[in-house]
Amino acid sequence: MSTVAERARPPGGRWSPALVAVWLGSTRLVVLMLLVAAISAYFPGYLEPSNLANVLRQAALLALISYGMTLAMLTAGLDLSVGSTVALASVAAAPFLVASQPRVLEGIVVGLAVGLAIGVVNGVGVAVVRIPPFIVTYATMWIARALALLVSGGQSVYSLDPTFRVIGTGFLFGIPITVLVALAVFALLHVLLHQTVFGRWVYALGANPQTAYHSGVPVTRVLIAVYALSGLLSGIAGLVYTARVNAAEPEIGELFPLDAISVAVLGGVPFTGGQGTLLGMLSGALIIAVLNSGLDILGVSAFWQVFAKGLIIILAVSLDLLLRRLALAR
Amino acid sequence: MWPSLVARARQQAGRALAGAQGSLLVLVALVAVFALVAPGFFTLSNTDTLARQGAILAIVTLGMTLVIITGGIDLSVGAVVALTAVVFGLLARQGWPLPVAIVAALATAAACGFANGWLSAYVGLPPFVATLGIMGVARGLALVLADGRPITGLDRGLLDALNGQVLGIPVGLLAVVGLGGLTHALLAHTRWGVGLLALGGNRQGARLAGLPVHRDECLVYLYAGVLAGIAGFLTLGRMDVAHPLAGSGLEFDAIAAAVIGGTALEGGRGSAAGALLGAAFITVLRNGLGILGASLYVQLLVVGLVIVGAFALDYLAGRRQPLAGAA
Repeated sequence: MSTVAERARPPGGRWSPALVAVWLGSTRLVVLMLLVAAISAYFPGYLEPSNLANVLRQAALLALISYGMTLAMLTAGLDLSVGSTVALASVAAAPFLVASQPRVLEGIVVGLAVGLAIGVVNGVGVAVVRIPPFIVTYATMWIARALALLVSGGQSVYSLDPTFRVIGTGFLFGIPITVLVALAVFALLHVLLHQTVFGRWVYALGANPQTAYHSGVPVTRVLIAVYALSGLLSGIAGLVYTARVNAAEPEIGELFPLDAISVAVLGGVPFTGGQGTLLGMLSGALIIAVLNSGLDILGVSAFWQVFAKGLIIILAVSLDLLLRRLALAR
Repeated sequence: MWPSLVARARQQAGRALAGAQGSLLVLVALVAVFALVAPGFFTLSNTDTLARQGAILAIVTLGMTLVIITGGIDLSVGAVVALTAVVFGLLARQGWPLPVAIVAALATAAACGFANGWLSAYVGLPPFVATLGIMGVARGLALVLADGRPITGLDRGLLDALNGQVLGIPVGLLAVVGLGGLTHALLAHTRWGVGLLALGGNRQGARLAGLPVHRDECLVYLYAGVLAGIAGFLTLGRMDVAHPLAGSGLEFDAIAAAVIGGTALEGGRGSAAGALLGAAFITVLRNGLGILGASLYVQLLVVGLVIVGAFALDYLAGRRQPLAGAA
């Protein structure tokens, strides 16, 4: 697949990388603003703080399940185990988080450790055993789901400790804490990707593994680290989800891998690796969150929502593509 | 130019099968183990069950394999399976003649496939996005048309025919053999099939060599859509109803089956025989575990472990290429 830049490059070659970068960021913003405008025209209360907080929290949850997927996609891989790992981290941490006997710190450590463990397995499978990422994470998707069902005995745990639930329901300075968590994770990952050697390695590896290898990038270690990080991020997402819904359910997250991929692709992260940014991914999360809330507000039935989401994904990405071509054609 | 392309295509098909040797070994071992420990696995009636279970996955995997050969992916197959079944169920219930209903349902599947192809090849959407969108559209339509409920009261004759046998061979198995042969012939012996391997291996090169890459790519999604439609009819036979949620998650099984069968996800390599091998692999595993009475959790766990095991075996046999050379 050639990039849009290659495809839309005029014969005279009068485009600059800067122009492309600016437009890549802002075309998605245009799509987002059109959506928000359309919804608030129909529903004037849409931009009120309470509603906005809900939409942003939804976007934050989407972002949290999409960070790991985006990292894997930057290396031209993907991580299908996202949803199952969220469920496993959630049910593994739950016994420590019940309101009757809360040991919140231990619960958080357990949740993160479980996520990290699945991530390390993925990383070793991809980097050392050299199984295609699709296959190894597809397998761990089933394995983590089975473990989640076995650990929990198929039972959900409800009524969690109020202190812990603050992560999912609380506000700080009027901003949902979930949103702050997502932003903090974003800031850390952004620095990691753009201010460190590790970040360079990730992009280099995704763009061309062979060149990266011969340039001295420690390919195996970088890949293990990326998938381990993705697992850890799924652990974080699992804890936040658990706090949000006040329950640890072994069956949550079946569709998370698809959601995360939609967010990343809508955010301009291609499957070919080495391109795209977390900032773009965030815009993808916002678009999908706004879309979901819009469909709810319009009272679209659940069945038609499935249809509408499919259509809108196609239209949104097509519009983005069109805007970029127009931008490049000038 | 042309003979070298054909030679390369043959070579790539051979390499796909060679890449699946570990899977073949594990499949043979699986069958042997189940034959020994699972009472009733190696019986005629279970062979029939296996054929019926496996036929749906196998047919969908054939289409998926061709799509993946071009470097694409088709997430919509499960939803198209459901939409085909629902469209047929509705038309048949309203008293349309059977042949007309069948053609209309298959045309729906073809339309979905064409939409995937048009969006991917001509509009330029990433195939993942295009087929994810069509997945939502098709699944949504199936749910809306059927009002979320299974459609019952289908023509008994047709259901019996779908469940029946010809010369002692289950209809599903016949369909698999026929479509497998057709897919192999298309891939190895037609301009289109060889073009698919070429465009998956090097799109720019294929375009410069004068191959109609856009048309070839569009047609591959159409083919996958029609195969999903045929699989949709087989689900009617299995479930006795047209269910709007039929085929959920089938796309992931089909992708996994294709890859187990040696198809390279980056495109340019794959074979029909490999697709059938991969589908057989997953079907045998599920069926055998079911007979052993394994709980669903344990089944999931074992499926995951065995998939990894098949690849680890390749690795131990030293066939996996070093990472840096794999690109």
